[in-house]
Amino acid sequence: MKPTPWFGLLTLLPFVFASTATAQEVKPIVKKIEAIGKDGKGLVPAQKAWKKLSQMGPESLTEILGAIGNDNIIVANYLNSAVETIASRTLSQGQKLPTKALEEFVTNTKNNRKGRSIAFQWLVKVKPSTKARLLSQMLDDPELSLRREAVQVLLNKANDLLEKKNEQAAQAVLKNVSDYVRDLDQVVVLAQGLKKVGNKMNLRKRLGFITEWAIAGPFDNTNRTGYRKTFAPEKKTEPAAIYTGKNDQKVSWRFIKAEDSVDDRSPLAGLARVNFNDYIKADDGTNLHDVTAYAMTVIQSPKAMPVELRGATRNAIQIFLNGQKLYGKEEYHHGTAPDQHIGRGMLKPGQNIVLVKVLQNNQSESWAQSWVFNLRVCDRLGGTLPVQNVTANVFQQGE
Amino acid sequence: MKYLLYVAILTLFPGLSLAGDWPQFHGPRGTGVSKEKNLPTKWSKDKGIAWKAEITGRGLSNPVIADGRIYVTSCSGPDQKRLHVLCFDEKTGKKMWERNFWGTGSNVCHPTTSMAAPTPVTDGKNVYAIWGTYDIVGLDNDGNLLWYRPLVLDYPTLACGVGHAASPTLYKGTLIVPLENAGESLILGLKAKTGQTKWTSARKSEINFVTPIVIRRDGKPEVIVQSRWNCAAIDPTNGKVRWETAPASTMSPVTTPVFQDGLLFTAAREGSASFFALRPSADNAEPEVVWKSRTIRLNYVSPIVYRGTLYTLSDRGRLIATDPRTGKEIAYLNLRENYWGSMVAADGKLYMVGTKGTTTVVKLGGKMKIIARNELNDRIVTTPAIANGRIYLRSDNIKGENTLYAIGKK
Repeated sequence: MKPTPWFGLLTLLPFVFASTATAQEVKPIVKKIEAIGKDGKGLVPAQKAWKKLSQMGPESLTEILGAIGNDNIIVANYLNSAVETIASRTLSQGQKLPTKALEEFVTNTKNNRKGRSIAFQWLVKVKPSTKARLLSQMLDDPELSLRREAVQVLLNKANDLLEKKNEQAAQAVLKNVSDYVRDLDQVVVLAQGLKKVGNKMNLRKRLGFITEWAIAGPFDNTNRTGYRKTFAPEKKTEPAAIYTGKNDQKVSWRFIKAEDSVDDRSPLAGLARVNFNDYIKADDGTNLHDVTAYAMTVIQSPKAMPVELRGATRNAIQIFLNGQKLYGKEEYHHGTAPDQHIGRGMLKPGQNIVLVKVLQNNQSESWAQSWVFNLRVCDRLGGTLPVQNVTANVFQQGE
Repeated sequence: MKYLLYVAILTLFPGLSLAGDWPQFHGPRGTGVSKEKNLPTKWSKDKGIAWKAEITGRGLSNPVIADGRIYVTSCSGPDQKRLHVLCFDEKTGKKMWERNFWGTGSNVCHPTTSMAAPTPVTDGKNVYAIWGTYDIVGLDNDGNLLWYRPLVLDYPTLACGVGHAASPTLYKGTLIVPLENAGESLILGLKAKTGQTKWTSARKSEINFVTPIVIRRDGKPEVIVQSRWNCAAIDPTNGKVRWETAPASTMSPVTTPVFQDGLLFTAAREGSASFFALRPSADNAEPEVVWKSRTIRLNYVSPIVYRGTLYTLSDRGRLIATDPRTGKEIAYLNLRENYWGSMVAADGKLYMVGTKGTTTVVKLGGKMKIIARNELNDRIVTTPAIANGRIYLRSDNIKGENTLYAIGKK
């Protein structure tokens, strides 16, 4: 079958009518995408809306990028996909992307973060010369992926200097970049670089790991029921409280200091760990099974501020802040990646109670005996917050 | 022209792909068998490669191929939450398009795997991809978005700390998505065209890596699902369970079973045997155990039935040929290599890719004979794809510098 000329023209129709979007046009489209719900509700109108969006011209890119926002990943993925479709089509037709508008969008840090990162990618794709210039201004960028690229430029530079044995210059570069590094893999590279020039980094402090805790347990977790039970420490966290634990044992808070241990899987996984097996044992000194334990720490905050409580454990875990559950995951003995559990909430001015519930099941394998966690307090990007740990004061250290 | 013909065929026979294609995990119908002939048997890093293409980021998913396009998924970024679908021209290896998404669910997995472990599936017109973050997407073959769903929106407890890896499959416009995990577990049937939920079928909460297969028994389609807990057949039109084995916690949670001539061949981990030939009964009662084996031990590599013989490969390289009717061992070869990806069969040969990128080619018929060991010196832990005279391999170097190899004539 030979394609007829009208068939070719029909396929070009969407591009003939490609138009420039205005905020008034993009907004109702975004509304359709925002309406996507459970079981795929709203997907059909969203598909139609996406099609309309993706047929717009390259001049619409920044308007679409601006509508991505910071809070809705469904919207972000739909709009990004429309941007990719428009930008790819524009380039394949030999047309140009609006580089000036894209650069203005990237450099305005008031624009949404994901939109800026997409704009940056397309901009450097069509105008590679802008990359170094823009990255040099992005060390403190609120968008983590842009900050990461900017940081990497300096880490690479420091590495080159170290290879050339220019330790003094390397040290200067590393110290310059130090305050801006957030991604954990880059923090490790930074620490290794600083070590080579004779500066040891306190990773626990640098990453905001909690080292002072009060722990209480055991409570029951027979048949993995503990995850759904609200034990007394979730209701009452006074330091002097005495609870009835598993098998009617009397349980009280005990102040401890988290310790570092070697973990081959990750340089960070062994930091500031609380190992419940060291403190909460069977009468014969062996590890307990089917049990729940709590760890509490008290954070003094100078003001109200958003916080991320980032933990790692192989065990089922729940994270509470001031009595509110921020996070929970019921899975046992799979991985200890740093920051694998993240509770997001708001610190209030003054004292804040962080409570972590960590559960152990009844698996008998040697690799399933771990009943350990660590936790750090940080901002949205993973940077430390100006808070103080006052657990020792509250629990009268040494008791 | 070819596309129009393809669309016409798909309209008449939904769920089918063209003969030379490789549309899903373990190939056409998930059997690991291709009808392709005159396939390459010898190659190296510098010889016998039609083209190589760079892949963005990491991934253990297999390439899928239809209508002259190769689709690959991957993930990137320090948290592996940047998710990619890439489309390459089958003939030249030129990247036709790439679409990127942000992941929503947990990104925790074993360091040897990644968020891009499940293999996508295509009907030639559209491609459907899921990642370990439980984000799922439908795109047409030009990269236009059909729909996107973060499945953690519907099922917030989805969790697999080892890394979700089971792949979706298609049956007549229904996208069958295995979601067996530590949280709420289910098989999800979606309307492939729109992404809307059509049915759900509850499964036991256990992490699981087995990709379902669609079989036809007594003229009716069945989706075979398997986890450590049991093996079951689900009606792909409504998600209802037709039959299931008694709960035992002994089945393999990794290898995909294969169905041939009324028998289902499937691996187990513990219990009375490590491999079973089951005959599902006409009245949907529990299947009959036709034979079982303690010799066949499978960890990662799915079995294959090819030209009347059952082939099984252990992760340490023990290749066994068995009479599928009786369970009697016919032949044995020790390949002395480690295997993660599954083997494939075509052109009278088995192709098995070791974790160091060496593909061992074994000639079948009579005595099994190794006819080539082809080294690529790249980390390959995925299953090869075979289409239109070529073999496709995808590497997963943990550093993220990965390659799609097209092996065969230019």
